[in-house]
Amino acid sequence: MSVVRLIVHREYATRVRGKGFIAATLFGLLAIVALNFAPALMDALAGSRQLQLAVVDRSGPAGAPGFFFERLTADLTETLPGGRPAYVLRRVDMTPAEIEQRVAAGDSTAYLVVEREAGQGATATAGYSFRVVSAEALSGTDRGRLAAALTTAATFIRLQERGISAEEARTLFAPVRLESEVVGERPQDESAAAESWNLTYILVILLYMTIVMYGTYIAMGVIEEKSSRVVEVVVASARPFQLMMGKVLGLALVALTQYAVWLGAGFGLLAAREALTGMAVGPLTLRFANVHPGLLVAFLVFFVLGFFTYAGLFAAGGSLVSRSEDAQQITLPLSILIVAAFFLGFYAMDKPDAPLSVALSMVPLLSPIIMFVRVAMGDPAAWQVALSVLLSLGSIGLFVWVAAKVFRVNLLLYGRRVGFSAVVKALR
Amino acid sequence: MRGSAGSAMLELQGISKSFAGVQAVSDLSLRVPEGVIFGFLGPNGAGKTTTMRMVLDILRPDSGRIAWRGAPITDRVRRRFGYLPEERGLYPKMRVGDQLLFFARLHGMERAAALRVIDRELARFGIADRKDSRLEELSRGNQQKVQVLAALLHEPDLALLDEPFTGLDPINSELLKEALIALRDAGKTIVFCSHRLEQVEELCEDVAIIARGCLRLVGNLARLRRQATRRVVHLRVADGSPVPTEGLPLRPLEPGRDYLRFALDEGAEPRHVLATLVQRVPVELFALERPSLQEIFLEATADGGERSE
Repeated sequence: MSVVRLIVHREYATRVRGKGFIAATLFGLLAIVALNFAPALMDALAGSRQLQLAVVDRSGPAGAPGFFFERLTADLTETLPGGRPAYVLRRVDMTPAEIEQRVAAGDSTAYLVVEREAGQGATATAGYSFRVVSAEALSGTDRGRLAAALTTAATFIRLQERGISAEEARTLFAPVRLESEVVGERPQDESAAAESWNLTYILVILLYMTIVMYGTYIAMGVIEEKSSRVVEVVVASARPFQLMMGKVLGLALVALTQYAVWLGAGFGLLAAREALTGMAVGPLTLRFANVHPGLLVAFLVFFVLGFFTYAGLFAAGGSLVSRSEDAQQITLPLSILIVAAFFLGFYAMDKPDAPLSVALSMVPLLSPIIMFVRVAMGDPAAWQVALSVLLSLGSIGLFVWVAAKVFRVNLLLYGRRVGFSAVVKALR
Repeated sequence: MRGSAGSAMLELQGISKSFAGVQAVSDLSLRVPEGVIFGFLGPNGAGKTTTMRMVLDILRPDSGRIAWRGAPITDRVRRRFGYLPEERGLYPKMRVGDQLLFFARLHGMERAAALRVIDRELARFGIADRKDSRLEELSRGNQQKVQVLAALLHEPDLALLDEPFTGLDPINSELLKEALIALRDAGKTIVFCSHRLEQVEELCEDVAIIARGCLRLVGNLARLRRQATRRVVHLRVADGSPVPTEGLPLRPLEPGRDYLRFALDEGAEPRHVLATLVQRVPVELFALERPSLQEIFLEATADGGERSE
């Protein structure tokens, strides 16, 4: 087996069996499961259970009893996060005494009693009074929605009294339709656009987190080999370049393994939930069928580019220090760089094809995140993507070359302070 | 057994290396014959580690050439070497068996063969039961054994061992000695550094002594002792009375257990000295001894090889 493959194998085998990897993977899985079932969980929580609403509506306008009930049925169509309707309405005919008795007996239904009201102040309420009787006070949201729906109903009555028919009133109050159009091949409708935003958001966070995490692993790995002094035994048989590349490639495989687990579990759960409930639900609306396979390919491509852009830098950085306590001196500045790319990525999510986004997507240390965002959210020209990838590849070559030199020279130096001069010296 | 001894396997030609203005090795030339155990000696800071690192291409010499069997050392050749560095180090969290398998394969062994040898050698050094333990869970002595095995499992063509006996108890030292002799008898070349010169005398056919990066002495140990200009007289007088050495070419040395020791001046005739002594005191023992490696070492590095660093 070649030296690099041996080192890759060692790195992969020890990492994948390591506590850190298992913990991180499980944590990620937990987050994925939580995201998947959060809507159902929230649904199950008291705050968002269905409201049973019984309407006592004996006295509709001009011989149309049940008018308010109909209006409420038409208006209160909100759904719970889990997808079930928030309100279940039924029309009942009970006396106030009966209602009070039932509520007192533990009925959780809320009773809306609509009564005709004569005398002064009648115009203010269109001549009706509305009263809710329930064991528990209605939530603010429910009260607001109910009041709004009743106000609309009352408005119809007032208009009718002024000679405007229900038909005309409906036309008068017909809501406008706000359409938003996403140009491009991918999302055809509004909800798909939101889905693509959500997914991109998740993937950008994942991209950022894994580049930082695995970069830190690389630096820590190099430092551990230095501080345990095993590095001298290894480089007696392997070239420092082989050691560095072996480490970097090994960790790249570990990262891809972790992705495979996460994405597999994530999409598996999505698919399972869709199959079970037949619908896409939840705050992070995401439908399996709407995930463009190209997006995942782009994600993997830009992860690999980002990983290798930073991998060499983290390896070279690790070689500059000899104790794990000093690791931060190396990982912090590099992490800040990645955080910067991450935040600029948010800007790019907003304006994927703005000139600044286009420019940033060409800058080697930023492009893996920014260009991914643009590919996911915008519509970059093919030449821009190609140029960005080429620039990335070129800079990876350069960084790896620089890193290999720094790595080679500093591998057996101990106790030196980290400094730019050490890097410059290594390059001479 | 060692019929081919004499043809150089490892050859250093005028190698020099300096770090930030400090000359660690200067113009060092050395030929290590095939199939010998070669003692590479020198005071601390003499440049031994630097030289070993250059042989392994961990460091590049500023000038000079290093050859193995007459050709520059390629990666393929280098993989068949074994190295036990002065600063011991393995992967602390890796299991002993996995660790040895990694190093054996790094040195070019096949997996199946490596596994076989690992089991055999762990059993020989009495740590077969620790195969699945993490290295950091082992005692220092056992870690040291694993480190030695990592350097020797693949029966290296050239073994470079820096103080291999440090940290080993007498039983395991004996096992290691046997292993080194077996390796030599298989025609392999072993270069080792040690400050325990009696061990070097016991094991090494050839030695080189360096100080301040320069070669001071090199050659067959027996021949070096024969050729040493410095001769030592062991002397015991019957009644233990003081020895009058006025006018004699003798300089007192550290005494032996029940005899006195003197350095005989260069060019002096031992029999004249004996004749004079016999006239003065009842001599019980007069022996002309070869200097020990210790004495050769001290003489070769007499200018105080210790470097302040």
